[in-house]
Amino acid sequence: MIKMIYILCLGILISADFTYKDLPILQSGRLKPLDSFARNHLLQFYGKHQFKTNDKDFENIVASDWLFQIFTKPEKELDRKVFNIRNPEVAFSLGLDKNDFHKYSFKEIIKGFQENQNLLESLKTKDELNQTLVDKQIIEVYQNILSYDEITHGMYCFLPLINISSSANREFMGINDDKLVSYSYFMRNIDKFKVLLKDLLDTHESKWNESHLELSHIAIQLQKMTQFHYAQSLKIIPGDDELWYSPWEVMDGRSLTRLQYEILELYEKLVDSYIKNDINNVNIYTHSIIDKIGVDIDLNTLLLSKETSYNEQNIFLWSMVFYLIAFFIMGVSWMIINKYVTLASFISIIIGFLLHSYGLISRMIIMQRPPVTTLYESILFVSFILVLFALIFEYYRRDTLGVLIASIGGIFLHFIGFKYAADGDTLGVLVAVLNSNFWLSTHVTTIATGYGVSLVAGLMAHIYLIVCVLQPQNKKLLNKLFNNTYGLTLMGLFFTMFGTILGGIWADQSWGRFWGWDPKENGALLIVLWHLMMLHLRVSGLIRKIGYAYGVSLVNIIVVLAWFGVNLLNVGLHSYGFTDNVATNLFLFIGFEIIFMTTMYLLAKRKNPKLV
Amino acid sequence: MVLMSLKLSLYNFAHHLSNMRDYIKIIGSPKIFSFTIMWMIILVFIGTIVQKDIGLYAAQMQYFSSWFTWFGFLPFPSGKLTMLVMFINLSCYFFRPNIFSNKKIGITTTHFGVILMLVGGALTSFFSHGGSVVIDEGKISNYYENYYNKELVVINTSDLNNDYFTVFESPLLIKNSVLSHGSIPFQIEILNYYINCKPVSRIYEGQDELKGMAKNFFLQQIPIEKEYEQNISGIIYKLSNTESSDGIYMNYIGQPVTQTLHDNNKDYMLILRRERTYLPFELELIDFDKIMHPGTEIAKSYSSLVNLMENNIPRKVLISMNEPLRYKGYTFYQASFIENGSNQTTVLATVKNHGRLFPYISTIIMCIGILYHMLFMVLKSFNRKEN
Repeated sequence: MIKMIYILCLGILISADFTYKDLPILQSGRLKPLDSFARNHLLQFYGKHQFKTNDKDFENIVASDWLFQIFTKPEKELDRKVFNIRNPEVAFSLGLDKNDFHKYSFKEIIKGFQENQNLLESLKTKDELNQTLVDKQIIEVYQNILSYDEITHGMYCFLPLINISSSANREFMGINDDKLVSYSYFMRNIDKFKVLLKDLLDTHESKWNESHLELSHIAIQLQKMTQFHYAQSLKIIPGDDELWYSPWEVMDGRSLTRLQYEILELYEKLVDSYIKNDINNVNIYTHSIIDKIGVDIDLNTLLLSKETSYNEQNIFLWSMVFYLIAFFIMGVSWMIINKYVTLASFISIIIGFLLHSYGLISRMIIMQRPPVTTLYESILFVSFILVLFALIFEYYRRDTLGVLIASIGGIFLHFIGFKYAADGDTLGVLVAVLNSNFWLSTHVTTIATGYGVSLVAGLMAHIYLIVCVLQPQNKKLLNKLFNNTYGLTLMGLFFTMFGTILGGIWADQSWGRFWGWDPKENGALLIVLWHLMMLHLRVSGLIRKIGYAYGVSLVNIIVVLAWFGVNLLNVGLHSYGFTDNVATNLFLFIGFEIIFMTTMYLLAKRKNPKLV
Repeated sequence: MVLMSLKLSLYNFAHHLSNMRDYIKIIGSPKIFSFTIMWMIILVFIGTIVQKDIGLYAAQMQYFSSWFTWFGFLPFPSGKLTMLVMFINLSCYFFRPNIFSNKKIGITTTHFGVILMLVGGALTSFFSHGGSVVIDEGKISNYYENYYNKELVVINTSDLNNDYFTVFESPLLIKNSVLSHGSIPFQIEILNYYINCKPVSRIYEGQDELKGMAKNFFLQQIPIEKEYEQNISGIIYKLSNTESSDGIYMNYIGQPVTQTLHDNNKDYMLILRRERTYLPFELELIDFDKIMHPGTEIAKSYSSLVNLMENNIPRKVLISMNEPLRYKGYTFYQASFIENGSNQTTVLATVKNHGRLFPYISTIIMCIGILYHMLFMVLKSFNRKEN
């Protein structure tokens, strides 16, 4: 049954035909399409997933084409300004000219390093603790340069660079049509080539004929090309076990399997077609490669093309656009009270939400795991929950309140999500402890749901206080808002509490203690305690409605602290992902919330003495 | 008359009861709960923040596992005491009237679940113990070592067939304490005990009094590590009442050469080591296996194939991440590993916890309680709408 649904989902979500962008490559422990590989590297070098410059000599091509360009036209590509150096100090120390885009080409930077050789030397002697920010960034630039160079020459062996014209040689090597031959061709047919070489060695130099002479040139040329043997970052050739190899690796003289032989041959043809700009043929060879690999290896090709289209679609950006549109239509609906305008904002939110869900489901299908595994994914999921709950409210109330909460929360969280996505690959593999689908899908999603519901409760409390200030006479609305806030607190308590306890049970199952006062655990506990405190304060009559709403509105701070704040401490089992900006933004948010909500509370108190 | 006095005493009793009720009402007030929970929030917050500086273990000891915590010279209730107050306060809830009414039964169930959770926490905190079993591939172990506590062991190795162990546990290992026991003829006076230290070689050879490793080395105290289990504890002690070996000796954790003693025709070994607890069975590591995500250094899973031997009857067990071995109240988890060339060593976290089941049971109870209450509220609101 589950399988049926799964296949159904796959059927709906799979789109597009298989193209050269979907060719499988092993990177960071996972098979992914070349498109993702290209995007990740472009992000690493350039700071963005795609080019955005007005360089006269270079078009703004997509990442996967850029990758093929550097494979096939490495010389030309050296001039493309692909390296992002934002820090002017770094650029200056490398002797680079100022430019407005902070983008530099490989050639420029290499020149910079050559002219400042002692720069790197001195950095190498410094130990990590003493390195300044500039030092670290220079090292990063250097590493990027190295990795770029490695990628550039990754397919060098497929480039048809060797001229073999003597008909005797051609015939013996089995070359039919007259074209240049690649390094890989010789390596595949090494047995035949060895015979020719042996003949060359056995014949005295004085007796060499034309084909002998050519052969000696080829041998030298091949020898020269092996200098790029280090370029092994392109793991595109399947091996045994789960390991994949780069073309250069399998060409170190080992005996090739039938599959490897065929794949190499197909890649030669593919690269050749790409150079000739014959995209049709490129895709035909792509299909052959996939088919060949699929025979021997259990490879889910649908996931590859799915991932490429996920990369291209930029779903979450569109989702945010619709949230923004909804926000503005909602603003209009407040001014001209019209049923259809209100409905339009509601529909816009729904479209944004559907896109949001589609993005989440795509990610789940691609990675074959539950929705929340990393901090980035938790942002996506929490905002999903937030919008979901707000939508439920909107469905029942139809007074744009749900749209308000959904759009504000959705926009904010998407925006934070983009910041995190810009840090690097968001589809990474998981470390051993986390590699458990059962617990990830129970504990992590429950706690993330708890975050989401708590945020909705917090926002609802914000609105309650604001309404208290602006329309203190609107008792009916106030009552409704308060009841909703109260219900949401209960629900937030339910999800955070069980999420936390499930986490404890996971910990008990996996490493033997239910509770260890680890920062992330404490963070979740703080939310639970906060909810409990608010409920009991209300039950005991120590506070009344406005005080309660004030307390609940501050739960947002606790949620954000538990969610992002604990990572700043950098201790314990849960610390993953750390950026310096996070701290500043966090404190700004907290400061703003406290000042804003306290002001609101004081104003509301003055206007509604009965509710205090 | 008798009737009167009986009536009177009954009255008194009833009065007394109602007095009790009042007290319980005060002790069980949700105001107290709100207040303790506020204090708990503060504790958790501080206890989390300080972990950056003092590490998890110290923070836990200071703010959660102790009765009192000191802010400057003032003692404040720490986690344990706060939770005890919470427990008492919550227990009083059950003396309230009407708690089994339809309206309250959900909340009552939930509170009962919370109480069970606190009881489980207390049981765990007082009675659970654990540590880690470290086994090399192909080797056997029948004990686990405590992460934090150390012990000083004197082993009499004179007898060919049996070794005699005398163990001084961590509470005894404090400066100036004098250790002696009928099983050993000499007396040990602890001159110094360091939680964390490192051996430093002496430039000058010390006094004649210094014996063993202390002759060429001394221990330098260094700050306590944030990761408490990484501390290398050291001890300096003076032996007296021996025939010819009186003097000052030193030991530290992981000392490369064992301190031996030949005295009065008997052989002894003196070792400072992590506190050991012996298991009623043995574990043999047959094979340790780790699987990486292909082409990376990121581990996908670890597992240890272990022979569980009791009375020399072996049984093969696979312990892997998220799938521990449970046996005779002990649980063994794949926690870590050490790789040294081709030698692999597994580290199995070991726990014996009597409160283990409490969170599971209380979760179910709490879940039922809250769900019932929510259902009740939803039904009520529907009824209200219909009316």
